[in-house]
Amino acid sequence: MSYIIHKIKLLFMKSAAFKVCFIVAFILCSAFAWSQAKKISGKILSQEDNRPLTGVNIIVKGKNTGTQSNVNGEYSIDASENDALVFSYTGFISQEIKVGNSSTIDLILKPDVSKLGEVVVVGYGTQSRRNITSAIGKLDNEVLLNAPRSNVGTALQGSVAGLRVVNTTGTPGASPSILLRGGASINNPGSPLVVVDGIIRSYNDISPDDIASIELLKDAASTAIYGARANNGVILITTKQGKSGTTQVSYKYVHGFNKNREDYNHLNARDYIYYNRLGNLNSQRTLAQVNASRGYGLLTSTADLALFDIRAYTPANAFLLQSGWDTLSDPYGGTIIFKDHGDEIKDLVFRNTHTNDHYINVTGGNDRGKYFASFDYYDEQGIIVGSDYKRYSANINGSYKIKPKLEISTGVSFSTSSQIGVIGGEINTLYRNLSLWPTMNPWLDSAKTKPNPGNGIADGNPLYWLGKTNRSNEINRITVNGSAKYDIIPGLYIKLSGNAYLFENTNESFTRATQTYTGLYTNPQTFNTTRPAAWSFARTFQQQYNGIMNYTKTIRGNHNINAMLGAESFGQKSFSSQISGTGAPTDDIPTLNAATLFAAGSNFTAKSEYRIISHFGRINYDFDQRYLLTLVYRQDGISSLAEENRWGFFPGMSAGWNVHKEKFFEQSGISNVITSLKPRISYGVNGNVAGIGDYEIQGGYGSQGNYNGSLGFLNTGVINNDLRWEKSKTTDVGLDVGILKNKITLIFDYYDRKTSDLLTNLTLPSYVGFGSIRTNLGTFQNKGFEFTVNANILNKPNGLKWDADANISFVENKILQLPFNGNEFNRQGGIQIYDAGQGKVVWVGGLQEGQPLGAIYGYKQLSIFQNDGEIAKFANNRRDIIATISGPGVTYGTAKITPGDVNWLDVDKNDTIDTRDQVYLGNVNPKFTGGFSSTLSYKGFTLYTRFDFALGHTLYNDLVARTLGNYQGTFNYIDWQKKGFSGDNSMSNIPKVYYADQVGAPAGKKNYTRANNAGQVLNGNNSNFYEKGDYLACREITLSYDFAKSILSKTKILSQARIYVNTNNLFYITKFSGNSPEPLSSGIFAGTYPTPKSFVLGVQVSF
Amino acid sequence: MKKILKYTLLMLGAATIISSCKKQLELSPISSITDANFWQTPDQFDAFVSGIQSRFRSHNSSFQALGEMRSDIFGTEPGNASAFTGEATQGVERMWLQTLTLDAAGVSNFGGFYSNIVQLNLLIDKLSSTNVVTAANKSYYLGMAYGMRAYYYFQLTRSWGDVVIQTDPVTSFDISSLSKAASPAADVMALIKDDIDKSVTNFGSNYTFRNTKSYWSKAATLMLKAEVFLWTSYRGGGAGDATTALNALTDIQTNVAGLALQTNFANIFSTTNRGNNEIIFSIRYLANESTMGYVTGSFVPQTGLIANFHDSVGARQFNVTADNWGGLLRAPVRVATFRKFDDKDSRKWASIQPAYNRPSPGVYVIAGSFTNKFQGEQVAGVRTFTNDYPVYRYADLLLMIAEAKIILGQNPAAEINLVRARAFGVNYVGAVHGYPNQAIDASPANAILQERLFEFIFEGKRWYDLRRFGNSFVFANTAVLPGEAYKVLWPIDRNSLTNNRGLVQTPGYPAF
Repeated sequence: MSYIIHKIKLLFMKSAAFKVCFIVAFILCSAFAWSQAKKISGKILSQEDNRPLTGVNIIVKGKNTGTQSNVNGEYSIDASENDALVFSYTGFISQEIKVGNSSTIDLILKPDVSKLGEVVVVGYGTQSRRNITSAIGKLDNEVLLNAPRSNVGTALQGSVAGLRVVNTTGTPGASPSILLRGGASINNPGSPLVVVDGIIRSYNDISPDDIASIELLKDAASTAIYGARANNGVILITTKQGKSGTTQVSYKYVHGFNKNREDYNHLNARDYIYYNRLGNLNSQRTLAQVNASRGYGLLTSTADLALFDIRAYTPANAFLLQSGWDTLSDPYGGTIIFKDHGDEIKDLVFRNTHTNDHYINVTGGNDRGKYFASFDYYDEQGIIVGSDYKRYSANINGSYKIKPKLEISTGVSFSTSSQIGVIGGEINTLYRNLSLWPTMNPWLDSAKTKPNPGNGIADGNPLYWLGKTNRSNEINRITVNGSAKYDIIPGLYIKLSGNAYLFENTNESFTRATQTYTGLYTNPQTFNTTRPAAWSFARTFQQQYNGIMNYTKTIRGNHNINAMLGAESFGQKSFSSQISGTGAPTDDIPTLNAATLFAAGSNFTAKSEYRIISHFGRINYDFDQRYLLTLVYRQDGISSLAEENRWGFFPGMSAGWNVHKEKFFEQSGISNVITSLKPRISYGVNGNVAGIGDYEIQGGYGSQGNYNGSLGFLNTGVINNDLRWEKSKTTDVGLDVGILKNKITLIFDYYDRKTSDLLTNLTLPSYVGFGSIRTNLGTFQNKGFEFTVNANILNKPNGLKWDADANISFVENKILQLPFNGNEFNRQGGIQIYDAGQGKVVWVGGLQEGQPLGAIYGYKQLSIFQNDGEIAKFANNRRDIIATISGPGVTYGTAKITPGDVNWLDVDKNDTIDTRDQVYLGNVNPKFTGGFSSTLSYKGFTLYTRFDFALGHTLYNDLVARTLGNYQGTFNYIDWQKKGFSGDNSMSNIPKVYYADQVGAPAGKKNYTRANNAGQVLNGNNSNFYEKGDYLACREITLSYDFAKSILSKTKILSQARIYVNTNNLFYITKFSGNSPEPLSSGIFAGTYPTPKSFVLGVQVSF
Repeated sequence: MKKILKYTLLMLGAATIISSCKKQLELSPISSITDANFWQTPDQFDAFVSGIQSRFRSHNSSFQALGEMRSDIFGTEPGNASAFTGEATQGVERMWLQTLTLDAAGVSNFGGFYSNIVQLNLLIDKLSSTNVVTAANKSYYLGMAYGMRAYYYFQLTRSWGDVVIQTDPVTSFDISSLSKAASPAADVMALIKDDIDKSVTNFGSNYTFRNTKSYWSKAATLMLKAEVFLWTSYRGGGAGDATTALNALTDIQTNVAGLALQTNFANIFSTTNRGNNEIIFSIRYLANESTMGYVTGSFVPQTGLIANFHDSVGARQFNVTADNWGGLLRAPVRVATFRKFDDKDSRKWASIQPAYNRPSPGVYVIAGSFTNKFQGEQVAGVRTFTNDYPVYRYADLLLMIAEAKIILGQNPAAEINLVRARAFGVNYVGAVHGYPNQAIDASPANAILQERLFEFIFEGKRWYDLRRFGNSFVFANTAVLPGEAYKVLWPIDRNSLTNNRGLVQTPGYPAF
């Protein structure tokens, strides 16, 4: 009660209207204290830049009195001689000073540089890590400093514990895939919510140089403030804002040189012809069939003779040997003459490229106003021909105190970018282009000016197809935000903000008349004159308005309260359109005005809209900075759910204990070693409705396209009003430790997240007539830990300094509940295998309660049969149902098992190889991910290195299986073939060469892909092509030099200058054979656009 | 204090205003239609019926696969696992090799047919309660809906025997009781006959065609009726059912004017001759609307590959301009099937394209063949497969009459010979080609079967024809062995079994 009275009194004190009342009351209550008080005043500066600090909290220790410094850093407070004043300011080390005789106390506050003292953006506010009781990660800004980045998402790779960031493609501008703590969903794990300066948007096209900080909210207590959309975590990006002080101009130029990674080598034409024809022979294909095949066949049509430099050797063409041709003996008998064009296509596909990044910013301000402006130009060509990324971005923000108590801030950002991918698709480029026939001449003329179209977009010279296609892409993003902050009384402010985000994406494409090689030699030449032209435009306009009221108060000297209450309205309107036409009469007009046919169904405009309305609040309370408590809630209402399920309430609470502030701790010997120690615990609930269509629950009737000229509609969705919020409940236990005066800091978190009411698609029985329905019937659990350590290893007086940090996280997921469907463990999908332990056939894979996601099953290759003796010994009576082949002792199938075929593990020992003989081969998800970095500096020189790793995941190498298995029938092999059974057998696990492995015997023996027909399928293949993906990646090595002040002062212009060289993505240490061992959610490595190795030179100067 | 109160109240007020604006959260779709506003106007019923036909079209490849892929039409040449052009069969071969399993079921998810059955159920339900549709349209649409539903269930029961019966629209799901057992084949057949009766009743005397015969019509229902009753006449229905079938067919002949055989066999399928007088019901394909995707997917060769072969007719090499098939040949027509046709039979050349190697000038060695019944049309240098796919045509009507007559002990010669005479054209010599003068005519059943093979190859009939006449005909003509009679039905794919616990695998097929 007395507490409340005190509070009211204090509030009264600050109100002019009630000042008189207050004084009377105050005199009555505190007459004794009043009698000894005197006025203390002073000025507080920051040690960082010697500028005044506004808003520093000054309290009289153990008393009710407190104030804040004004814009000039000045304060005055009443205190008595025996009192002590405590000065605290977020991001700075608090100081306690005895009043004594002095009446003026000026102070310089030191910034808190230790990890545990950093300022952390927490959503609608900031906090010092010292007071934080939830799990929040912060990116070390060093990561953003050097490397040119087309997408800032790549900076997160390995740099924040708990985040799995995967480069799924090296195409410039592409965002990596990001997953927090293993993802909170079964069907479609979403990425974290990204909030940039309060605006919910993507981080694509943001210049990394504009970023002041990146925080990651991980546990439910910290993310609850974003309630509805936050159960995959929140990435908070804060861009640079103006600083008061003299105007400073900074310019940075980065030039990068990008290079392809090592990859598989393909055979030259000689080996290609030999192994393919041998494979055909092994597959019992007739000579006529072999010779009718492209590439290694002896085709005789004019077009084929022109495309493929391969002939039957005759004395008449022996003269070709003079011009680079060569001969080989055909496994079918006879001699073949050919010319080697091996790697010519590869050299056309890959290129070395440059990155150019110019960045300039201006910042300045005074007591009342601050501004910041920047401009960035970024240009990177992809290392695969045709791919390209360009970006211009600009940023202006400023704030002005129009009245002492009223500050207005505004900001505008703009970016326009263009991202163009490879033509014909990445997987096709990496598989088809690279394994194209090495007997094909990619050029039609000897001067190499006319590229050969080959047999299609992925089966020819890419330059031809690029030359026939116009593609353009333009993505514009504009954000505008404004806010007004009004200080009602010291400690209490109200802030009203509004922002708008406009996203526009325009794509244009046009394909001229094209032909394939066969069309070149008809008379007249044959062309595909469809000339498709398309234009699409999508726009999203988003508006967000919120108001918050924030109250900070210290009561009785050591009860610190910070309370915030807010409301927000969020709305998004989307518009999309497309025009798609064909039949232009000429190549010369690349726009749609020349198209003559606009088929129904391929042209549209569509609109949609959704809204979220919310209110939220947070109370941070601590007692003497020892006992910390945070309570937070958010209530969200969303338009895409039915009225009765629309509102979701998401609370969070967290508590911590700064043990090191306890007397007993301070007095114990431990405090000599452990400087700070904060155990903390949090619990909260988050929601998610991501993936639900704006109007999905209302059921719907969708277009079925035209039938005989009239548009048809059918019922495409059933009313699903029961759908509700998915809810994640997370418990997080953490410990922040500072050792040896915080030279070493440790942050540890253990979490247990259960997502219930999971938005899960239930595949429906066929008779229902709808494929699947979204339900709330799943529960999914992620458990794991995260550990971050920062250490200052050396800090010599001579300037030698070495800092290192590392993080590791471990995650385990499990399905706890699935929609009831009557199957055991409510299994969806899956396969039946024989479990030797249980001695019976069991269901594995698919989705099952009690099982993790991502398990892989396939057939175990024990060995390759080396001779008939081995076959007779191990597989005499074997029936291989999959390949329909059999051992010598039984009559079955369309062919026999022969030396060079795979000896499969017969799990159930029944002499039959069928789908039951599959075994567990790993999991697509890594168990451990993390990274570490080190900064070694001496005088102006700094060596910075950064690594990241992922352990425990398995990848199915479809690219190798597809290539060696000759799925396509005529393409080239990688050079492993030469070391396989049909070659020198030094890689004794590679089966005999056949024509098209996936085809039924005798053509193929299904030695590579077993249970499917060469589809990209995770399960059911040869165990030999499942590779461990464990890797350690060297992301960055930077050597930089900061010019000494003494040198700079001589220039009289420069205030700061820095040059550096750096390498990015230099190498992976891994046993995985492909170019990228990074985990893929599909688990299938089918050829990834390689992330280039970059070598960079950077210069940065400030005036 | 005042200020605090004031601002707190202001904030709370703002929060209340914002969160009380619940109306703001009531959004209706702009670019699509919801349940709340469909079924309000006759246009919407018309659009729905168009949608039904459109989805029926999307099931074309399932109809074709179930109807003939397991018969004796398609296959690679002995000893070859790939097509003569080199393309791999990629699992399609399992159908003609009769090696289907639950993981390679040939046709999965019951052909997707239920996705249209529930729409038909919904249409029937809504038509029964609407008053916005004219009486004439209402009965026409009900006739269509019952007829098409019967067609689907007839496909289902001929392929899987016992199947789940779903006759109600699906408007919500009770997730806890989704499993549903299959009904006995006899019940399914009873439903089919009942639906046919309802269709006939609803059509009443309306024998008109709509949308140039690309919509289901009363004649289509009667064709289906004949097919169904012929099927049951071999299965205990005897002469009674054969008579019902015959009556349905003569009903069409009596009441539908203008039906006749096209003079030129190839013209039936021409893209410029849609809804011709031979057609009773066909699936409509149009350029820039929909193409027969399954044709390019499996049945016609790559342009560049076929260009290496020759056509003995006209002694020419295939060229990429005229022979731009642009497909993938996974299911070639067996040379043996091609050779069954008489050279004078115009159906041979209008149905199958042979390809030859030419080791030396003038010498042609057959390499393989593929179907060319649906040749599409040339659009901007690209062959686009836009032929209509006949579901029922007059030749089918004639041959079913012949079949019914054979069962009833009547003379089928008139109908069979109409078909043969058209096929042989000017080459037709009644004494040689006419019934009963061909050797095969000694067995009327085999004569009908062979005639239907020649006539309807690639129209999804052959396997069902063999099945209709009985298992012995299946054993005699396909790779199904007499000891594997269970294989006349199809296995249920693994996903369908998983998703509906009430189902059991087709007896005979392994359950793992």
